[in-house]
Amino acid sequence: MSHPLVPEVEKLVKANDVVIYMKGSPEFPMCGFSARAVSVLKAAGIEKPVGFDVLSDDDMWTALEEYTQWPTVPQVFIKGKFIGGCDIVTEMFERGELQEILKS
Amino acid sequence: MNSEQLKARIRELHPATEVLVTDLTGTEDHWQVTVVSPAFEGKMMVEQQRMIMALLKAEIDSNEVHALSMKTFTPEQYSKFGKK
Repeated sequence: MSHPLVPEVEKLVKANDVVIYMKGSPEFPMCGFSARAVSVLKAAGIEKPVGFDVLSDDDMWTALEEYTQWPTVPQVFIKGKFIGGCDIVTEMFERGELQEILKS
Repeated sequence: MNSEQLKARIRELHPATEVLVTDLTGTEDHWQVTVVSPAFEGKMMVEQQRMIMALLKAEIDSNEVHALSMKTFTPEQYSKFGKK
């Protein structure tokens, strides 16, 4: 039995190159981890990721967690693929892997 | 769970070449773990970390492990990026 909004999550992440589910918006993050993920994306050349504020929509937040089976936000998607949260995105950027995925 | 038990749990199910654990708060429930394993070869980092989380699912669910910060490496990645 899957959450009725799971298809909405899938639609958003597949329709956009870079999507970040976060607390607040990319312009005004409401949490340090979300802010750091946004700044890492910026450092990787993504000035304007598509942001979704989970604080504004509890149902969508639940659907997101069900879709990725990942317990925390932020959650970053690139080309429809779930990449990870703040720590993973940061580490992948430091290893150059994030840039590789963005180029491909 | 103390650090030796945590290490043993991670080693038990992994052909892990290196397992480092740090108790971040001194309360044995906030951990930083570094795991190097050839089992991570060809997997995205998120999948590597899911493997660790799966090993510790019971402890995470019961909140015995309250926070888990992970760094995962294949042996090749570890020689390149591990010693920062």
